[in-house]
Amino acid sequence: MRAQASYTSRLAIFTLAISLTGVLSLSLAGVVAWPVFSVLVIVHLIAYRRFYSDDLLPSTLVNTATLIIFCLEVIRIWIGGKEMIIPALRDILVVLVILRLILRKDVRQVYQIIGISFASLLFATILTISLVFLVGLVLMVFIIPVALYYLDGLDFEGDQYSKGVGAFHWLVVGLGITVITCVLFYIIPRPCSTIMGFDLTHDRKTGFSEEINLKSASPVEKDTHIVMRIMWERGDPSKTFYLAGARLEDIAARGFVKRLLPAKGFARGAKAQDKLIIYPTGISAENVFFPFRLVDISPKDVMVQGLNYYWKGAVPPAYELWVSKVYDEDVPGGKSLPKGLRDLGFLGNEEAGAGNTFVKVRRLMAYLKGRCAYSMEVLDIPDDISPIEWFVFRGRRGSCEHFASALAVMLQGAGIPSRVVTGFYVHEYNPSGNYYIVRACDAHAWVEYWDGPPSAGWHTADPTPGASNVYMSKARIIDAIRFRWIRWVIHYSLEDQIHFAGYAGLNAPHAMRYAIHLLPFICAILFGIYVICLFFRRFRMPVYNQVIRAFAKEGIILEKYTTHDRHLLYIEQAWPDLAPHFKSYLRDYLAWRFGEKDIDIRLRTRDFLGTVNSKQ
Amino acid sequence: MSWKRSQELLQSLFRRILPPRGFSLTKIGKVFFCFLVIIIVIAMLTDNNLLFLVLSVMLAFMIVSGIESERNIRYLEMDRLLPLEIFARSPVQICYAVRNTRGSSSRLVISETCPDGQIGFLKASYLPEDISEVFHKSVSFKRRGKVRLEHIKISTTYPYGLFEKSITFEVAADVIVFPKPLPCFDLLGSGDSEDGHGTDKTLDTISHTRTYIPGDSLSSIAWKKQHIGLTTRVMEGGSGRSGIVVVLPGHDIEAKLGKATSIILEFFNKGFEFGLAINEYFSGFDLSRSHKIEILSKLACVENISEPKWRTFDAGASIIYI
Repeated sequence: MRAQASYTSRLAIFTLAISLTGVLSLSLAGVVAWPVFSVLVIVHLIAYRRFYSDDLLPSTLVNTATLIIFCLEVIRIWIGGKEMIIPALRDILVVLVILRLILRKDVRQVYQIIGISFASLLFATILTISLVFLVGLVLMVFIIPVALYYLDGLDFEGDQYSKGVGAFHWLVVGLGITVITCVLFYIIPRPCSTIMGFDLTHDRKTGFSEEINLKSASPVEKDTHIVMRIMWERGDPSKTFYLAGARLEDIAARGFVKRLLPAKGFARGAKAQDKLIIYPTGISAENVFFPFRLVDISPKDVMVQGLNYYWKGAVPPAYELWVSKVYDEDVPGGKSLPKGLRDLGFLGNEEAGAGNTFVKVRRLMAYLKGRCAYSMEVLDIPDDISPIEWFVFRGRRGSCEHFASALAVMLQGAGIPSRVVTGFYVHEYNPSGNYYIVRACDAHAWVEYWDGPPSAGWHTADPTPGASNVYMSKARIIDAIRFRWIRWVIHYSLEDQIHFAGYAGLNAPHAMRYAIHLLPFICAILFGIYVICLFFRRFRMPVYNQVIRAFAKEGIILEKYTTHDRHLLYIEQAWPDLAPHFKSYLRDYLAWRFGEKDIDIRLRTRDFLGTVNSKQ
Repeated sequence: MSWKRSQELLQSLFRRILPPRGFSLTKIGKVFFCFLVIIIVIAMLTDNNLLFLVLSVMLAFMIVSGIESERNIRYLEMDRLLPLEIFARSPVQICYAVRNTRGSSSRLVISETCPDGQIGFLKASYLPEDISEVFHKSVSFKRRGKVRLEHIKISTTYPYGLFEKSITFEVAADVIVFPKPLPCFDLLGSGDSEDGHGTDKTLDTISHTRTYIPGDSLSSIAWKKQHIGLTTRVMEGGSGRSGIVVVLPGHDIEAKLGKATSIILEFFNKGFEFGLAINEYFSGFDLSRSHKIEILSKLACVENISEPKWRTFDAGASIIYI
């Protein structure tokens, strides 16, 4: 009786654990608040201690209440619209969990609890991309099999109170499910790649703007959320670099703007030096971000508008870039400065002084850094003056956009072709995952200027003071794990599967090549282990199986799942000489098996096998 | 290696990898399967990788369940032990000896069917490694005659109760169900006088007669007169140490066969020589068990009764006409 009570108690624990895991999944997805979860934990504990085996309320009443609540939630959706669907579903699930707890937990109820918890897990799955979601899933993987096992055992009087199944067994089962899940997840083909298209990720306010509007600058928040991660896969990685989003060549009243040109398709450029992979995780700007000069890109679903690149469709979860650090495209034809900026142009020409382009640029940068201060405040700029000139001559404080715009105008005044570039300043490297981190607060503006021979090409100049004063996270390992989660689970795609399939060919990277070279050795080792196992298994093989095996070696295949009489009949036909010996052996074997004789059956079997060998 | 040998090896390998198994979903398994289909549809529609992850978990769960249930039944051995004599509409016990040669087994259901329908099923909750467990099932066959027991199925819902996996043992056996022995009313007959009173050669005066009941001493039967009729028999002469049952044509075949069975058993139990004459068959005289089985088997398989070919026998034998 005590064993049976223990069995029931264990079933109760696992049932309530599953119920709680369902609610935990909802909490991990951010659907149920943690205080509510805490209350539900207490409710579960009370249910276990007080009324697991009793009906707190009549089932009819509970079912009626369920129906009423369901109708009320439907009305709520009807009145509140689409926004109410998720809260209504959440409430229905939570109410169902509580109502099932009120009822007596018979087998049917326990199955219902498992079903509700699983539905909660699915609901949570749809609403999250968080890594912590795994906690709920893993708990389910480990708890549900145990509960189902105990439920199944009820038909067999508690399976004699579950003999031979302990914690180690469940550990192996849980790990087995985990390993097979990993394998299946990566080989099950899927139609597409990402959930980004469903707007389930939060688009951060990055501070990146394609065009500069200095007249209505909004306050820039210190948002440290990661918007991109970059892997420098091939080439010579830089410690820091500028990730361009838009190159702004024209000047409008409010600031620099992009040059409006007809869009055209992407054409591969000259030889690339470096290869990078960019994983945008929190930004939905349609600009293609790249450092230096873009040579090639994959996927090629890109259109070109002047010097800028845009995605034709949704931003892919990852894209590969081939870039060249030498930016030697032809310099565009010069344009005269607008009237409102001529004073600043003259100032630039004066301050640049004599010397080569590099020296002039340094002088102007030093001038701006010495004269103006960096500020993230919202500035009150009068309408009668250009915001760039106001910044240099009156305000003398501003953000990177002010500094970059002022330097570009001054360079143009000094006869040096220049433009403003907006994008991100990449400076944070995570050695745990070998990638760069781009945060929302890394949005930046800088200048590109043209220099003639001997170093002909476009060069970068950053006049903003204190650009190196940047945020660096210390939780790098956690971010590396999170990155892998996003990359290899959330964004794992059909393209990746095709890519991996390609490893079977000659394009395998070094690691795969090593693995392929090692494969014969691994196979040889596995085969050796198998042979050793076979050798030892021979001693453990049941005696009658040894006999069947001995006959099989002689070409007489005895059906395994049939009677011994039939075996005897078959041997009488196939090998009449041996039939009397086999009959005698069979008599002894059956007598031993059914307890009529106490004989050394292994010795008897060995004798018989000797007879078989001698009769060949 | 010859082609035939290669083929055998291939077949053996195939059987090893994919042994024949029955598979069905339980009620809970059907719900699980519905969940699986719903998740597949949603995952395909939304491209949500986490749903693919959940889908993978469910498939992995199915695979682990399959592996565990296969391990549970893969190395089972089964023997069926039938009783020597099975009589129609009488309970007999069939024994099933089950053994797992590698590892233990749990939650097995042993079931067997015959053309009449399922004989029944047994539940075995636990089977230790390499130990034969013998399970008994009381069954009753409805009709006499040959019954073919074709196969025994061992199924299991172990470990999670979602799927039922079964292994079938082709242990066909032809069972002969003997007619149900019927009490022999009026077997004793009337003795010397019509009311049953009379005097026997070896006994004192008979005070009265009563209906013969199987188990009565043969020496107390009056073997003097012969009555031919549907249910009464007339015995004549002889020493009383051997008898022959002659089955005559009549309406109620089953009753006749039942009574003949009853008398044959009685002869055998008392150690007398006995025989049977029915239609064109005559068994001869013997007192062995195999002779009894042969006669009962003949009775079990009779389809109709015609005038017996054999009516006269050696003078020493008592003749019982039915």
